[in-house]
Amino acid sequence: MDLFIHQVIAGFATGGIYACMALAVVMIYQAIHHLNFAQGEMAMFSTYLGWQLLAWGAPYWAVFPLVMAISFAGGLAIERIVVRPIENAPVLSHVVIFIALFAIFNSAAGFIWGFTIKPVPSPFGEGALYPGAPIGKHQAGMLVVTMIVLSLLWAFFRFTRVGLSMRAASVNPESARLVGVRVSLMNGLGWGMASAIGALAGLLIAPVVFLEPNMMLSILLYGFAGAVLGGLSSPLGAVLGGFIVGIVENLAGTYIPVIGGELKLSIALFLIVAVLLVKPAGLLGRRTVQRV
Amino acid sequence: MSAILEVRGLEASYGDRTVLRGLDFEVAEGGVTALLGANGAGKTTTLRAICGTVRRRGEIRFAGKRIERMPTESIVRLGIAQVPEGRGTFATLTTEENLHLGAMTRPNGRDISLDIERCYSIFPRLKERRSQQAGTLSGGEQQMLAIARALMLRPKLMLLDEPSFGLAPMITKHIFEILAEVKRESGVSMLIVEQNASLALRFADQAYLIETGSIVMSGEAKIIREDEGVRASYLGY
Repeated sequence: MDLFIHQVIAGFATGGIYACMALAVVMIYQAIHHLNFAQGEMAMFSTYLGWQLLAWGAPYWAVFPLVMAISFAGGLAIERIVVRPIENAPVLSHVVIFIALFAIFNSAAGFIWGFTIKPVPSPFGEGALYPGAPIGKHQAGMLVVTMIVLSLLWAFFRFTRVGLSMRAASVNPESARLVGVRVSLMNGLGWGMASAIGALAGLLIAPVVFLEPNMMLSILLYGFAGAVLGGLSSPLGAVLGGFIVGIVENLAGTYIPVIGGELKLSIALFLIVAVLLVKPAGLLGRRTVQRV
Repeated sequence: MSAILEVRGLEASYGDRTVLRGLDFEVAEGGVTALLGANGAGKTTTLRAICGTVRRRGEIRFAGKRIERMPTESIVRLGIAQVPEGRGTFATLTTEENLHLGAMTRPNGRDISLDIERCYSIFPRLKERRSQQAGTLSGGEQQMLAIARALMLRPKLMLLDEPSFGLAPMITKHIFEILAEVKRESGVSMLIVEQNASLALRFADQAYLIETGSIVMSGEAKIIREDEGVRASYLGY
Protein backbone atom coordinates (compact mmCIF):
# COMPACT_ATOMS: atom_id res chain seq x y z
CA MET A 1 0.00 0.00 0.00
CA ASP A 2 2.83 2.32 0.89
CA LEU A 3 4.42 1.76 -2.46
CA PHE A 4 1.11 2.52 -4.14
CA ILE A 5 0.68 5.82 -2.30
CA HIS A 6 4.30 6.76 -3.00
CA GLN A 7 3.84 6.11 -6.67
CA VAL A 8 0.62 8.11 -6.80
CA ILE A 9 2.25 11.09 -5.12
CA ALA A 10 5.27 10.88 -7.39
CA GLY A 11 2.84 10.61 -10.32
CA PHE A 12 1.17 13.79 -9.16
CA ALA A 13 4.48 15.67 -9.28
CA THR A 14 5.30 14.72 -12.88
CA GLY A 15 1.59 14.94 -13.69
CA GLY A 16 1.78 18.65 -12.89
CA ILE A 17 4.32 19.06 -15.68
CA TYR A 18 2.18 17.08 -18.11
CA ALA A 19 -0.79 19.16 -17.02
CA CYS A 20 1.10 22.33 -17.95
CA MET A 21 2.03 20.95 -21.37
CA ALA A 22 -1.51 19.68 -21.92
CA LEU A 23 -2.87 23.09 -20.98
CA ALA A 24 -0.45 24.81 -23.36
CA VAL A 25 -1.52 22.47 -26.15
CA VAL A 26 -5.21 23.07 -25.46
CA MET A 27 -4.84 26.85 -25.28
CA ILE A 28 -3.37 26.94 -28.76
CA TYR A 29 -5.83 24.34 -29.99
CA GLN A 30 -8.65 26.56 -28.75
CA ALA A 31 -7.26 29.50 -30.65
CA ILE A 32 -6.45 27.90 -34.00
CA HIS A 33 -7.95 24.38 -33.85
CA HIS A 34 -4.69 22.68 -34.65
CA LEU A 35 -2.29 20.78 -32.44
CA ASN A 36 0.97 22.62 -32.19
CA PHE A 37 3.60 19.93 -32.07
CA ALA A 38 6.37 22.48 -31.85
CA GLN A 39 5.06 23.27 -28.36
CA GLY A 40 7.67 21.03 -26.71
CA GLU A 41 10.54 22.51 -28.70
CA MET A 42 9.41 26.03 -27.82
CA ALA A 43 9.44 25.01 -24.16
CA MET A 44 12.85 23.39 -24.56
CA PHE A 45 14.25 26.58 -26.11
CA SER A 46 12.86 28.60 -23.22
CA THR A 47 14.51 26.20 -20.81
CA TYR A 48 17.86 26.76 -22.51
CA LEU A 49 17.37 30.49 -22.16
CA GLY A 50 16.82 29.91 -18.45
CA TRP A 51 19.91 27.73 -18.22
CA GLN A 52 21.96 30.42 -20.00
CA LEU A 53 20.77 33.10 -17.58
CA LEU A 54 21.60 30.82 -14.65
CA ALA A 55 25.04 30.17 -16.11
CA TRP A 56 25.59 33.90 -16.29
CA GLY A 57 24.89 34.01 -12.58
CA ALA A 58 21.31 35.24 -12.43
CA PRO A 59 19.42 34.09 -9.32
CA TYR A 60 16.97 31.25 -9.96
CA TRP A 61 13.89 33.12 -8.81
CA ALA A 62 14.60 36.01 -11.13
CA VAL A 63 15.23 33.64 -14.04
CA PHE A 64 11.84 32.02 -13.65
CA PRO A 65 9.57 35.02 -14.25
CA LEU A 66 12.01 36.53 -16.74
CA VAL A 67 12.08 33.43 -18.93
CA MET A 68 8.32 33.17 -18.73
CA ALA A 69 7.99 36.80 -19.83
CA ILE A 70 10.42 36.30 -22.72
CA SER A 71 8.55 33.15 -23.76
CA PHE A 72 5.26 35.02 -23.64
CA ALA A 73 6.65 37.64 -26.00
CA GLY A 74 8.13 34.92 -28.19
CA GLY A 75 4.84 33.04 -28.42
CA LEU A 76 2.99 36.22 -29.27
CA ALA A 77 5.59 37.02 -31.94
CA ILE A 78 5.30 33.54 -33.48
CA GLU A 79 1.54 33.95 -33.68
CA ARG A 80 1.82 37.39 -35.30
CA ILE A 81 4.61 36.52 -37.73
CA VAL A 82 3.98 32.96 -38.91
CA VAL A 83 0.59 31.71 -37.72
CA ARG A 84 -1.59 34.77 -38.33
CA PRO A 85 -0.81 35.06 -42.06
CA ILE A 86 -1.95 31.47 -42.70
CA GLU A 87 -5.06 31.77 -40.55
CA ASN A 88 -7.40 30.51 -43.26
CA ALA A 89 -4.97 28.17 -44.95
CA PRO A 90 -5.65 24.41 -45.09
CA VAL A 91 -4.53 22.04 -42.36
CA LEU A 92 -1.41 20.98 -44.23
CA SER A 93 -0.01 24.51 -44.21
CA HIS A 94 -0.31 24.52 -40.45
CA VAL A 95 1.36 21.14 -40.20
CA VAL A 96 4.26 22.39 -42.32
CA ILE A 97 4.62 25.50 -40.16
CA PHE A 98 4.68 23.40 -37.00
CA ILE A 99 7.30 21.05 -38.46
CA ALA A 100 9.35 24.08 -39.44
CA LEU A 101 9.08 25.59 -35.97
CA PHE A 102 10.00 22.23 -34.48
CA ALA A 103 13.10 21.93 -36.65
CA ILE A 104 14.13 25.54 -36.18
CA PHE A 105 13.97 25.49 -32.39
CA ASN A 106 15.55 22.07 -32.15
CA SER A 107 18.52 22.87 -34.37
CA ALA A 108 18.89 26.41 -33.07
CA ALA A 109 19.21 25.07 -29.52
CA GLY A 110 21.74 22.49 -30.67
CA PHE A 111 23.65 25.08 -32.67
CA ILE A 112 23.82 27.62 -29.85
CA TRP A 113 24.22 25.39 -26.83
CA GLY A 114 25.42 22.06 -28.27
CA PHE A 115 23.81 18.64 -28.13
CA THR A 116 25.59 17.41 -25.00
CA ILE A 117 23.37 16.76 -22.03
CA LYS A 118 23.61 19.41 -19.34
CA PRO A 119 22.62 18.94 -15.71
CA VAL A 120 20.39 21.67 -14.32
CA PRO A 121 20.47 22.37 -10.58
CA SER A 122 17.17 22.25 -8.74
CA PRO A 123 16.09 25.41 -6.97
CA PHE A 124 14.45 23.28 -4.32
CA GLY A 125 17.54 21.24 -3.42
CA GLU A 126 18.47 17.59 -3.76
CA GLY A 127 17.34 14.54 -1.86
CA ALA A 128 14.13 13.46 -0.19
CA LEU A 129 11.66 16.00 1.14
CA TYR A 130 12.24 14.55 4.62
CA PRO A 131 13.89 11.26 5.60
CA GLY A 132 11.74 8.47 4.22
CA ALA A 133 9.48 10.81 2.25
CA PRO A 134 7.79 9.43 -0.86
CA ILE A 135 9.00 12.30 -3.03
CA GLY A 136 12.11 14.40 -3.36
CA LYS A 137 12.44 18.08 -2.56
CA HIS A 138 12.46 18.92 -6.23
CA GLN A 139 9.30 16.98 -7.00
CA ALA A 140 7.52 18.62 -4.07
CA GLY A 141 8.61 22.05 -5.23
CA MET A 142 7.54 21.24 -8.77
CA LEU A 143 4.10 20.23 -7.57
CA VAL A 144 3.67 23.36 -5.45
CA VAL A 145 4.74 25.70 -8.24
CA THR A 146 2.54 24.06 -10.87
CA MET A 147 -0.42 24.09 -8.50
CA ILE A 148 0.04 27.80 -7.81
CA VAL A 149 0.38 28.67 -11.48
CA LEU A 150 -2.59 26.53 -12.51
CA SER A 151 -4.75 28.15 -9.81
CA LEU A 152 -3.70 31.61 -10.94
CA LEU A 153 -4.59 30.70 -14.52
CA TRP A 154 -7.95 29.37 -13.42
CA ALA A 155 -8.66 32.60 -11.56
CA PHE A 156 -7.53 34.60 -14.57
CA PHE A 157 -9.95 32.84 -16.91
CA ARG A 158 -12.73 32.81 -14.38
CA PHE A 159 -12.61 36.32 -12.95
CA THR A 160 -10.93 38.75 -15.32
CA ARG A 161 -12.39 40.49 -18.35
CA VAL A 162 -9.46 39.52 -20.54
CA GLY A 163 -9.85 35.91 -19.45
CA LEU A 164 -13.54 36.00 -20.25
CA SER A 165 -12.83 37.57 -23.64
CA MET A 166 -10.30 34.84 -24.43
CA ARG A 167 -12.84 32.17 -23.57
CA ALA A 168 -15.51 33.91 -25.65
CA ALA A 169 -13.14 34.17 -28.62
CA SER A 170 -12.49 30.45 -28.54
CA VAL A 171 -16.11 29.38 -27.99
CA ASN A 172 -17.63 31.53 -30.72
CA PRO A 173 -15.25 33.81 -32.62
CA GLU A 174 -17.94 35.44 -34.74
CA SER A 175 -20.14 36.37 -31.78
CA ALA A 176 -17.06 37.49 -29.90
CA ARG A 177 -16.30 39.96 -32.69
CA LEU A 178 -19.89 41.15 -32.56
CA VAL A 179 -19.54 42.11 -28.90
CA GLY A 180 -16.28 43.90 -29.66
CA VAL A 181 -13.72 41.32 -28.54
CA ARG A 182 -10.49 41.57 -30.55
CA VAL A 183 -10.38 37.92 -31.49
CA SER A 184 -7.02 37.96 -33.22
CA LEU A 185 -5.40 39.69 -30.25
CA MET A 186 -6.92 37.03 -27.97
CA ASN A 187 -5.40 34.31 -30.16
CA GLY A 188 -2.04 36.04 -29.86
CA LEU A 189 -2.41 36.20 -26.09
CA GLY A 190 -3.27 32.49 -26.11
CA TRP A 191 -0.01 31.71 -27.91
CA GLY A 192 1.94 33.91 -25.53
CA MET A 193 0.44 32.32 -22.46
CA ALA A 194 0.86 28.80 -23.83
CA SER A 195 4.55 29.51 -24.47
CA ALA A 196 5.00 30.89 -20.97
CA ILE A 197 3.33 27.84 -19.44
CA GLY A 198 5.50 25.58 -21.59
CA ALA A 199 8.57 27.46 -20.38
CA LEU A 200 7.48 26.88 -16.80
CA ALA A 201 7.09 23.15 -17.47
CA GLY A 202 10.50 23.00 -19.14
CA LEU A 203 12.29 24.85 -16.34
CA LEU A 204 10.69 22.65 -13.70
CA ILE A 205 11.33 19.33 -15.42
CA ALA A 206 14.88 20.13 -16.58
CA PRO A 207 16.54 19.06 -13.32
CA VAL A 208 14.78 15.69 -13.65
CA VAL A 209 15.28 14.84 -17.33
CA PHE A 210 18.45 16.95 -17.88
CA LEU A 211 18.83 19.60 -20.50
CA GLU A 212 19.26 18.63 -24.15
CA PRO A 213 17.51 19.61 -27.38
CA ASN A 214 15.21 16.56 -27.33
CA MET A 215 14.29 16.77 -23.67
CA MET A 216 10.65 17.78 -24.27
CA LEU A 217 9.77 15.12 -26.85
CA SER A 218 8.41 12.60 -24.40
CA ILE A 219 7.01 15.29 -22.10
CA LEU A 220 4.99 16.75 -24.95
CA LEU A 221 3.73 13.29 -25.85
CA TYR A 222 2.47 12.85 -22.31
CA GLY A 223 1.01 16.33 -22.53
CA PHE A 224 -0.84 15.38 -25.72
CA ALA A 225 -2.12 12.26 -23.99
CA GLY A 226 -3.35 14.37 -21.10
CA ALA A 227 -5.00 16.86 -23.43
CA VAL A 228 -6.75 14.16 -25.43
CA LEU A 229 -7.81 12.33 -22.28
CA GLY A 230 -9.28 15.44 -20.70
CA GLY A 231 -10.71 16.80 -23.91
CA LEU A 232 -9.08 19.21 -26.34
CA SER A 233 -11.91 21.68 -25.87
CA SER A 234 -11.53 21.86 -22.10
CA PRO A 235 -8.56 23.52 -20.37
CA LEU A 236 -9.71 22.12 -17.03
CA GLY A 237 -9.98 18.68 -18.59
CA ALA A 238 -6.48 18.99 -20.00
CA VAL A 239 -5.05 19.75 -16.57
CA LEU A 240 -6.96 16.85 -15.06
CA GLY A 241 -5.83 14.61 -17.92
CA GLY A 242 -2.21 15.63 -17.37
CA PHE A 243 -2.35 14.60 -13.73
CA ILE A 244 -4.07 11.32 -14.56
CA VAL A 245 -1.43 10.52 -17.18
CA GLY A 246 1.32 11.23 -14.65
CA ILE A 247 -0.21 8.87 -12.11
CA VAL A 248 -1.06 6.13 -14.60
CA GLU A 249 2.43 6.31 -16.06
CA ASN A 250 4.00 5.83 -12.64
CA LEU A 251 1.68 3.05 -11.50
CA ALA A 252 1.98 1.13 -14.76
CA GLY A 253 5.76 1.43 -14.63
CA THR A 254 5.76 0.00 -11.11
CA TYR A 255 3.11 -2.68 -11.21
CA ILE A 256 3.20 -4.02 -14.75
CA PRO A 257 6.60 -5.70 -14.89
CA VAL A 258 6.78 -5.82 -18.67
CA ILE A 259 6.52 -2.08 -18.93
CA GLY A 260 9.23 -1.07 -16.46
CA GLY A 261 11.05 2.11 -17.29
CA GLU A 262 11.58 1.49 -20.99
CA LEU A 263 8.06 1.07 -22.24
CA LYS A 264 6.56 3.89 -20.17
CA LEU A 265 6.28 6.19 -23.14
CA SER A 266 4.05 3.77 -25.00
CA ILE A 267 1.49 4.22 -22.22
CA ALA A 268 0.92 7.73 -23.49
CA LEU A 269 0.24 6.46 -26.99
CA PHE A 270 -1.91 3.66 -25.66
CA LEU A 271 -3.96 6.22 -23.71
CA ILE A 272 -4.39 8.45 -26.74
CA VAL A 273 -5.63 5.58 -28.89
CA ALA A 274 -7.89 4.21 -26.16
CA VAL A 275 -9.51 7.61 -25.49
CA LEU A 276 -10.04 8.28 -29.17
CA LEU A 277 -11.75 4.92 -29.54
CA VAL A 278 -13.95 5.09 -26.45
CA LYS A 279 -14.67 8.74 -25.81
CA PRO A 280 -13.28 10.93 -28.60
CA ALA A 281 -14.32 14.18 -26.92
CA GLY A 282 -12.32 13.32 -23.78
CA LEU A 283 -13.44 13.37 -20.16
CA LEU A 284 -14.60 16.97 -19.98
CA GLY A 285 -14.57 17.89 -23.65
CA ARG A 286 -17.57 18.84 -25.69
CA ARG A 287 -18.31 17.05 -28.89
CA THR A 288 -18.29 19.64 -31.64
CA VAL A 289 -21.30 19.64 -33.86
CA GLN A 290 -20.97 21.63 -37.01
CA ARG A 291 -23.98 23.12 -38.70
CA VAL A 292 -23.81 22.94 -42.45
CA MET B 1 -36.65 62.55 -38.57
CA SER B 2 -32.97 62.16 -39.38
CA ALA B 3 -31.43 58.81 -40.23
CA ILE B 4 -29.08 57.10 -37.79
CA LEU B 5 -28.07 54.59 -40.46
CA GLU B 6 -27.80 55.40 -44.15
CA VAL B 7 -26.82 52.76 -46.64
CA ARG B 8 -26.05 53.60 -50.28
CA GLY B 9 -25.16 51.14 -53.02
CA LEU B 10 -24.30 48.33 -50.65
CA GLU B 11 -22.78 45.31 -52.35
CA ALA B 12 -21.52 42.16 -50.72
CA SER B 13 -20.24 38.81 -51.86
CA TYR B 14 -19.05 35.49 -50.53
CA GLY B 15 -16.10 34.58 -52.70
CA ASP B 16 -17.35 34.78 -56.29
CA ARG B 17 -20.98 34.80 -55.35
CA THR B 18 -22.52 38.26 -55.25
CA VAL B 19 -25.30 38.40 -52.71
CA LEU B 20 -26.14 42.09 -52.47
CA ARG B 21 -26.44 44.19 -55.62
CA GLY B 22 -26.54 47.80 -54.56
CA LEU B 23 -28.96 48.26 -51.68
CA ASP B 24 -30.14 51.71 -50.54
CA PHE B 25 -31.98 52.02 -47.28
CA GLU B 26 -32.19 53.99 -44.05
CA VAL B 27 -33.00 53.53 -40.40
CA ALA B 28 -34.53 56.59 -38.76
CA GLU B 29 -33.23 57.80 -35.42
CA GLY B 30 -35.38 56.04 -32.83
CA GLY B 31 -37.27 54.15 -35.52
CA VAL B 32 -37.66 50.56 -36.56
CA THR B 33 -36.88 49.47 -40.09
CA ALA B 34 -37.71 45.99 -41.30
CA LEU B 35 -35.98 44.12 -44.09
CA LEU B 36 -38.27 41.51 -45.53
CA GLY B 37 -37.78 38.84 -48.10
CA ALA B 38 -37.61 35.15 -48.74
CA ASN B 39 -34.85 32.82 -47.68
CA GLY B 40 -31.63 33.63 -49.49
CA ALA B 41 -32.71 37.13 -50.52
CA GLY B 42 -29.69 38.64 -48.73
CA LYS B 43 -31.24 39.88 -45.48
CA THR B 44 -28.74 38.31 -43.14
CA THR B 45 -25.89 39.30 -45.42
CA THR B 46 -27.08 42.91 -45.18
CA LEU B 47 -26.69 42.83 -41.40
CA ARG B 48 -23.32 41.14 -41.74
CA ALA B 49 -22.21 43.80 -44.18
CA ILE B 50 -23.14 46.58 -41.76
CA CYS B 51 -21.10 44.92 -39.00
CA GLY B 52 -18.25 44.11 -41.34
CA THR B 53 -18.28 40.34 -40.93
CA VAL B 54 -18.59 39.91 -44.68
CA ARG B 55 -16.71 41.69 -47.44
CA ARG B 56 -18.69 44.71 -48.64
CA ARG B 57 -18.59 47.75 -50.92
CA GLY B 58 -20.69 50.87 -50.98
CA GLU B 59 -21.41 53.54 -48.45
CA ILE B 60 -22.56 52.92 -44.89
CA ARG B 61 -23.03 55.91 -42.62
CA PHE B 62 -23.76 55.52 -38.94
CA ALA B 63 -24.67 58.75 -37.15
CA GLY B 64 -23.08 60.59 -40.06
CA LYS B 65 -19.83 58.65 -39.86
CA ARG B 66 -18.56 56.37 -42.64
CA ILE B 67 -18.11 52.87 -41.24
CA GLU B 68 -17.76 50.67 -44.31
CA ARG B 69 -14.02 50.33 -43.88
CA MET B 70 -13.96 49.79 -40.14
CA PRO B 71 -13.26 46.41 -38.53
CA THR B 72 -16.16 44.78 -36.68
CA GLU B 73 -14.72 45.48 -33.23
CA SER B 74 -14.62 49.23 -33.91
CA ILE B 75 -18.13 49.28 -35.35
CA VAL B 76 -19.41 47.65 -32.18
CA ARG B 77 -17.69 50.34 -30.14
CA LEU B 78 -19.77 52.99 -31.94
CA GLY B 79 -22.89 51.44 -30.44
CA ILE B 80 -24.14 48.95 -33.01
CA ALA B 81 -25.24 45.70 -31.40
CA GLN B 82 -26.14 42.71 -33.48
CA VAL B 83 -28.42 39.91 -32.32
CA PRO B 84 -27.14 37.26 -34.70
CA GLU B 85 -29.15 34.67 -36.56
CA GLY B 86 -29.46 31.46 -34.59
CA ARG B 87 -28.76 33.65 -31.52
CA GLY B 88 -24.98 33.18 -31.46
CA THR B 89 -24.72 32.72 -27.71
CA PHE B 90 -21.50 31.56 -26.10
CA ALA B 91 -22.73 28.04 -25.44
CA THR B 92 -20.24 26.88 -22.82
CA LEU B 93 -20.25 30.14 -20.86
CA THR B 94 -22.88 30.94 -18.28
CA THR B 95 -25.82 33.23 -18.89
CA GLU B 96 -24.26 35.90 -16.71
CA GLU B 97 -20.89 35.63 -18.47
CA ASN B 98 -22.71 36.07 -21.78
CA LEU B 99 -24.23 39.28 -20.45
CA HIS B 100 -20.86 40.53 -19.21
CA LEU B 101 -19.47 39.95 -22.69
CA GLY B 102 -22.16 42.19 -24.14
CA ALA B 103 -20.65 45.07 -22.17
CA MET B 104 -17.06 44.18 -23.03
CA THR B 105 -16.42 47.42 -24.89
CA ARG B 106 -17.67 49.58 -22.03
CA PRO B 107 -15.37 50.62 -19.19
CA ASN B 108 -15.56 48.21 -16.29
CA GLY B 109 -17.70 49.57 -13.51
CA ARG B 110 -20.71 49.35 -11.29
CA ASP B 111 -23.21 50.35 -13.97
CA ILE B 112 -22.49 47.08 -15.75
CA SER B 113 -23.85 45.10 -12.80
CA LEU B 114 -26.78 47.51 -12.67
CA ASP B 115 -27.48 46.87 -16.35
CA ILE B 116 -27.32 43.13 -15.75
CA GLU B 117 -29.93 43.53 -13.03
CA ARG B 118 -32.01 45.56 -15.47
CA CYS B 119 -31.78 42.77 -18.04
CA TYR B 120 -32.90 40.33 -15.37
CA SER B 121 -35.91 42.49 -14.61
CA ILE B 122 -36.84 42.53 -18.30
CA PHE B 123 -36.19 38.79 -18.65
CA PRO B 124 -36.81 37.14 -15.25
CA ARG B 125 -36.19 33.76 -16.85
CA LEU B 126 -32.58 34.68 -17.43
CA LYS B 127 -32.12 35.44 -13.76
CA GLU B 128 -33.22 31.91 -12.91
CA ARG B 129 -30.66 30.64 -15.40
CA ARG B 130 -27.88 33.04 -14.49
CA SER B 131 -25.23 30.42 -13.66
CA GLN B 132 -26.36 27.87 -16.22
CA GLN B 133 -24.41 27.29 -19.43
CA ALA B 134 -26.06 29.23 -22.24
CA GLY B 135 -26.06 26.18 -24.50
CA THR B 136 -28.45 24.40 -22.14
CA LEU B 137 -31.08 27.15 -22.35
CA SER B 138 -34.22 26.66 -24.42
CA GLY B 139 -34.53 28.36 -27.81
CA GLY B 140 -36.69 31.15 -26.43
CA GLU B 141 -34.37 31.73 -23.50
CA GLN B 142 -31.37 31.87 -25.81
CA GLN B 143 -33.14 34.45 -27.94
CA MET B 144 -33.85 36.48 -24.81
CA LEU B 145 -30.20 36.13 -23.83
CA ALA B 146 -29.07 37.31 -27.26
CA ILE B 147 -31.28 40.38 -26.99
CA ALA B 148 -30.21 41.06 -23.41
CA ARG B 149 -26.57 40.72 -24.40
CA ALA B 150 -27.09 43.27 -27.15
CA LEU B 151 -28.74 45.64 -24.65
CA MET B 152 -25.67 45.37 -22.41
CA LEU B 153 -23.79 47.43 -24.98
CA ARG B 154 -26.28 50.28 -24.43
CA PRO B 155 -26.58 50.36 -28.20
CA LYS B 156 -27.75 53.23 -30.36
CA LEU B 157 -28.73 50.78 -33.06
CA MET B 158 -29.76 47.16 -32.71
CA LEU B 159 -29.57 44.78 -35.64
CA LEU B 160 -31.94 41.90 -35.11
CA ASP B 161 -31.60 38.84 -37.30
CA GLU B 162 -34.77 36.71 -37.33
CA PRO B 163 -35.77 37.07 -33.69
CA SER B 164 -38.64 34.64 -34.36
CA PHE B 165 -36.24 31.97 -35.66
CA GLY B 166 -37.29 28.52 -34.51
CA LEU B 167 -39.60 29.78 -31.78
CA ALA B 168 -43.18 28.85 -30.94
CA PRO B 169 -45.71 31.58 -31.84
CA MET B 170 -46.43 32.36 -28.18
CA ILE B 171 -42.77 32.91 -27.42
CA THR B 172 -42.27 34.95 -30.58
CA LYS B 173 -45.13 37.19 -29.52
CA HIS B 174 -43.56 37.63 -26.09
CA ILE B 175 -40.18 38.48 -27.62
CA PHE B 176 -41.74 41.15 -29.83
CA GLU B 177 -43.65 42.65 -26.91
CA ILE B 178 -40.38 42.95 -25.05
CA LEU B 179 -38.64 44.50 -28.06
CA ALA B 180 -41.42 47.08 -28.26
CA GLU B 181 -41.00 47.83 -24.58
CA VAL B 182 -37.22 48.13 -24.91
CA LYS B 183 -37.71 50.56 -27.78
CA ARG B 184 -40.18 52.68 -25.82
CA GLU B 185 -37.88 52.82 -22.81
CA SER B 186 -34.47 53.35 -24.35
CA GLY B 187 -35.38 54.90 -27.69
CA VAL B 188 -32.89 52.61 -29.42
CA SER B 189 -33.18 52.41 -33.21
CA MET B 190 -33.65 48.97 -34.73
CA LEU B 191 -33.06 47.26 -38.02
CA ILE B 192 -34.89 43.99 -38.06
CA VAL B 193 -34.70 41.15 -40.51
CA GLU B 194 -37.66 38.79 -40.59
CA GLN B 195 -39.23 36.05 -42.61
CA ASN B 196 -42.40 36.45 -40.63
CA ALA B 197 -43.54 39.50 -42.57
CA SER B 198 -46.87 40.15 -40.88
CA LEU B 199 -45.19 40.21 -37.48
CA ALA B 200 -42.38 42.47 -38.63
CA LEU B 201 -44.72 44.88 -40.41
CA ARG B 202 -46.75 45.42 -37.27
CA PHE B 203 -43.61 46.19 -35.32
CA ALA B 204 -41.74 48.35 -37.84
CA ASP B 205 -42.23 51.94 -39.04
CA GLN B 206 -40.45 51.51 -42.37
CA ALA B 207 -40.02 48.41 -44.45
CA TYR B 208 -37.94 47.33 -47.41
CA LEU B 209 -38.55 44.26 -49.50
CA ILE B 210 -35.47 42.47 -50.77
CA GLU B 211 -35.42 40.01 -53.60
CA THR B 212 -32.19 38.32 -54.74
CA GLY B 213 -30.00 41.08 -53.41
CA SER B 214 -31.98 44.10 -54.61
CA ILE B 215 -34.67 46.19 -53.03
CA VAL B 216 -37.92 45.76 -54.91
CA MET B 217 -40.15 47.86 -52.73
CA SER B 218 -39.99 50.23 -49.83
CA GLY B 219 -42.29 52.43 -47.81
CA GLU B 220 -44.13 52.85 -44.57
CA ALA B 221 -44.78 49.56 -42.87
CA LYS B 222 -48.50 50.11 -42.42
CA ILE B 223 -48.99 50.97 -46.07
CA ILE B 224 -47.11 47.90 -47.23
CA ARG B 225 -49.06 45.82 -44.77
CA GLU B 226 -52.34 46.90 -46.26
CA ASP B 227 -51.33 46.57 -49.89
CA GLU B 228 -53.13 43.50 -51.19
CA GLY B 229 -50.89 43.14 -54.23
CA VAL B 230 -47.68 43.21 -52.21
CA ARG B 231 -49.13 40.84 -49.72
CA ALA B 232 -50.09 38.32 -52.37
CA SER B 233 -46.92 38.47 -54.44
CA TYR B 234 -44.18 38.98 -51.87
CA LEU B 235 -45.32 38.28 -48.37
CA GLY B 236 -47.42 35.21 -48.91
CA TYR B 237 -49.96 35.51 -46.16
